[in-house]
Amino acid sequence: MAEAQKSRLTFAHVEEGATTARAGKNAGNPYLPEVATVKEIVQETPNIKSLRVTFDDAEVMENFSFAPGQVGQLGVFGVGESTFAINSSPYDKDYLQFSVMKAGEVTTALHDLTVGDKVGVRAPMGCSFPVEEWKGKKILYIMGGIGAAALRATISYTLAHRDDYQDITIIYGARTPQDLTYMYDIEDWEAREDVNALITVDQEAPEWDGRVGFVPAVLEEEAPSPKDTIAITCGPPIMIKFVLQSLEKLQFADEQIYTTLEKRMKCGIGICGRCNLGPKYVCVDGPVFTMADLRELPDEL
Amino acid sequence: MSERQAEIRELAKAALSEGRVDYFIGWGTGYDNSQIVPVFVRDAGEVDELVWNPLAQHNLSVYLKRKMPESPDAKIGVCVKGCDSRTLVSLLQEELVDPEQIYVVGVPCDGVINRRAVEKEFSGEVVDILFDGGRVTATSRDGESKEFSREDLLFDHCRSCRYPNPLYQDDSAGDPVPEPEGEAGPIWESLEEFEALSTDQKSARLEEVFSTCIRCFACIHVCPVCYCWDQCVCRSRKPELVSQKVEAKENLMFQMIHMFHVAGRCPSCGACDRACPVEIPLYLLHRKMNQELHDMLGFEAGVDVEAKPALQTFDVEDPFGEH
Amino acid sequence: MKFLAEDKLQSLLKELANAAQVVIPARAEDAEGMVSFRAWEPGVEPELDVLLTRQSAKEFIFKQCEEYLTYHYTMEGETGVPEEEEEGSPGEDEDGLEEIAHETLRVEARVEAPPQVLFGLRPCDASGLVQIDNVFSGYGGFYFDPMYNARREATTILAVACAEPRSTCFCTSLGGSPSGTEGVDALFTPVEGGFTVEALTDKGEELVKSSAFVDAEGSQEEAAAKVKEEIEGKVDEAFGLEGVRENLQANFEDTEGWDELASRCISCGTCTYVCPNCYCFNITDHKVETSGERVRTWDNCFNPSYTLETSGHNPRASKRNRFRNRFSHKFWYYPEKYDSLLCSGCGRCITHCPVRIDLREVVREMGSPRVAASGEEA
Repeated sequence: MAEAQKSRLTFAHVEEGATTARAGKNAGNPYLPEVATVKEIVQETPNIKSLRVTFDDAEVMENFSFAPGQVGQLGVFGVGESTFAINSSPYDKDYLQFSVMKAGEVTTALHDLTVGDKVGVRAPMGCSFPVEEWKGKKILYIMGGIGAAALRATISYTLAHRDDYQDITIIYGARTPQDLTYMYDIEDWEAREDVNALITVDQEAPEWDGRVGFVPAVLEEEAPSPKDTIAITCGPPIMIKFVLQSLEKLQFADEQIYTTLEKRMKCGIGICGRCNLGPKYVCVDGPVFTMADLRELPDEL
Repeated sequence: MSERQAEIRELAKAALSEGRVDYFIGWGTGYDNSQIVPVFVRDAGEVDELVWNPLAQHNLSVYLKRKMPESPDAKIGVCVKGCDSRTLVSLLQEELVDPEQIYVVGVPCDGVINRRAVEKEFSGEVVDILFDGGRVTATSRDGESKEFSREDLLFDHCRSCRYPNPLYQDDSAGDPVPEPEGEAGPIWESLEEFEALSTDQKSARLEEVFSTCIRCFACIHVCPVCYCWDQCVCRSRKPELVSQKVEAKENLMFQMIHMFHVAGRCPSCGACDRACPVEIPLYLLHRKMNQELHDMLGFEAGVDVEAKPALQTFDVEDPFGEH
Repeated sequence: MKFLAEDKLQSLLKELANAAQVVIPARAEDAEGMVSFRAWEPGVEPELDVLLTRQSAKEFIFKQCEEYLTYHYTMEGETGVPEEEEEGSPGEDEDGLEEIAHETLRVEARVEAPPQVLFGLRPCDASGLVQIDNVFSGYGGFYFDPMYNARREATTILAVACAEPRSTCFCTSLGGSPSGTEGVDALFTPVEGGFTVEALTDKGEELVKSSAFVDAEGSQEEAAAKVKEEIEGKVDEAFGLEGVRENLQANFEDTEGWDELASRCISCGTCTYVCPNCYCFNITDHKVETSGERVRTWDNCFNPSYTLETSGHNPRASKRNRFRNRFSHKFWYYPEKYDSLLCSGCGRCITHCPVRIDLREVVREMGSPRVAASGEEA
């Protein structure tokens, strides 16, 4: 977060651009979504679709930028909004990509959209992964299922700046081969010699001749050294729980472990009060937290 | 009255010290001597917190409803008055409470007084209310003192109460009170004025009354038989029957849904009325519903553990309006 | 300092009503009705003998139901003109594929800020608004809410100092006062024959230019000072604030202790709605056919589905956890972000709670060091 100013703002301040609201003509009203159009839909898995959207306002699209790890509120007018990681590459000026797992009211409505339909986007929001701080270090991504969506933009970034980092390892697992998201990325990662890609599925499957094993087990088998390494994890809560235990066994320090959290959200801008973890709001103080941050907060995950 | 209080304390003490209950729910003193609140006693040495007087208005069977007990395995002791026992019977009729897990102390009741009515007699804040036989003495913070007759302060539904003795209990806190004489059926006074209005007038009056509702859901939560409280259809999105908009029509719809859902299980205990922070006369709706059920089906909620709530059953022999 | 004679109050309200909606504390229609803030009408006397209105005044700035966005879908080509006459019917796009008519969308933001004057707030009501101001006005580097701030700027707050507190008042324990000026544009202090009036802000200065006011005499100023002095001593002390934040943090896992305090709570939300400081809200969309609104409505952290996630997981599934959250928010989480407490000490939560949960008791218990189950000092 930018250094917090300890005073209230007025409309005059807002006109001078003094808020942390995102770029665009709606900077003065952080509740007002930008209208965007669905340009492409990719069926990643049976229940996950990636929506590629562009802002209707060309200037907004031109000026849009985000840092890896930031999220957006993507919504269908008449249904509601939900929080999704912006998982297109930060260098991609053509569209924003959000990956949606069909689970509830809003995600079902998003799955029912077709190309040409309109959505509302409020982005970018939240804090990002400190990719600059990580320069010179080894990066270890540990992801499960839809968790890949939260880390994809960061993977894109670190791969785009490959020389700034030492070894990059990606451990990615899903329940079945059909549940692996971003097959096109996986092919890329596996083909690259400067990436150690370890793709796994939970159990044997007839059409799968790759690795088999739960993500935490694969992590322990690989037993990476914690020296100069940053571990970033995202996935189903049960997977995160065991991954954290494994990282502790491997002697990773709390400051070395990053994750990105989600909670029920409404405003997404740190006002409505519901996504708090103690004094921190997941929508503005997060969604990125280190294990060290989480240890200081009440356990209300 | 102090006898009943002593009885309640004795019974609670025995139940706690013998380990028959994990905690015992009764009434006790709140932040001052004019406020009676529900109390949870967990230790036999603390039973002196339990109090019985005409301010003990809470229907404590609310703490037995779905998802309210602190632990699902807890053995719970609870005090009930006549009207409270009827909501407990409704919960037992629907098999939502395990009789093996509860220890019920029935408290025969002479009626509960309306504390708000006392407050309105003073310009200052009422901080003390004392009882002596049929006399009630209230004192305000600035020292003003007034005496009332208990009879004058009773709630309407206490005046026409036909079940002052609990209908379900494991033990009784003292001797029963005399059964009321007179009317064989329920008395529906105070509905007559509303009944006399035309449909348009009724509609306008209801909207006016519910325009002040702040959708705090106190009525829903304090009602023992409104047990979907954490999944209430009024907060549902799929389907959305009631929007979140706080307007007279939406508020009325929300209350109508509640009224229909509790019909057949609601004995008009008045807890909803007393809980409402903006004094909406909710009780009138439920009383009207109970009148209809009585007239159409000869049914009264919560009087017979073996029965089932009227709107949960269907019988081709149902005597619509003929009995 | 100025003076407003009692018999000038109506004419002052009338004058203000020429340019703004005037809101006063008044009884409901029947004489025994409760006192609430409602729109002033000529002849209606503000009810100032009753200390507190039933609800706070926050609903006039932080509306309970705010429709802040409207949206309207149309199908391209939907002009109301019969089909045969329409120009530019779908043809082919650049790839030679037939263009499918698709939807267009018009989204409009709605910000309403009618000028209003709120008369008759107590200092605790006004200070509550200041706490909500912090949240909605970007204090600490967060976002700026234009709906709230437009209303706030268009509102003048005229507070009336208290003469007699209730036993449930505890503003002084929180650094407030029955004649406090936080968030107040002009403070009226009741004295013989009327009120002394102090203008505290630009809006206040504008107000006292009215001819309804005269300069206060020395004796009236003295009387006002005396009223203020006397009442400070009449507010009971509820608790000390030292260490409350740290102890709430230390006691977070004392689930047995929280269970005891939360036992009789019925998890309704009344306390939140009547509180001058609570501000949590919900956002929902309502559409009928092709158009609808996005609405912000008050919500409360006791709502069982407040934190319910789509997966079914609920971080605060138990009543006790929700109970713990509310008090922790007021005395620990909010102060960490906004450098003040989220409580004015008005006591409405205590008097309106259907089971009279006492916030003072909760803060005393959980804001103090507690002996852990092991017998060690926490």
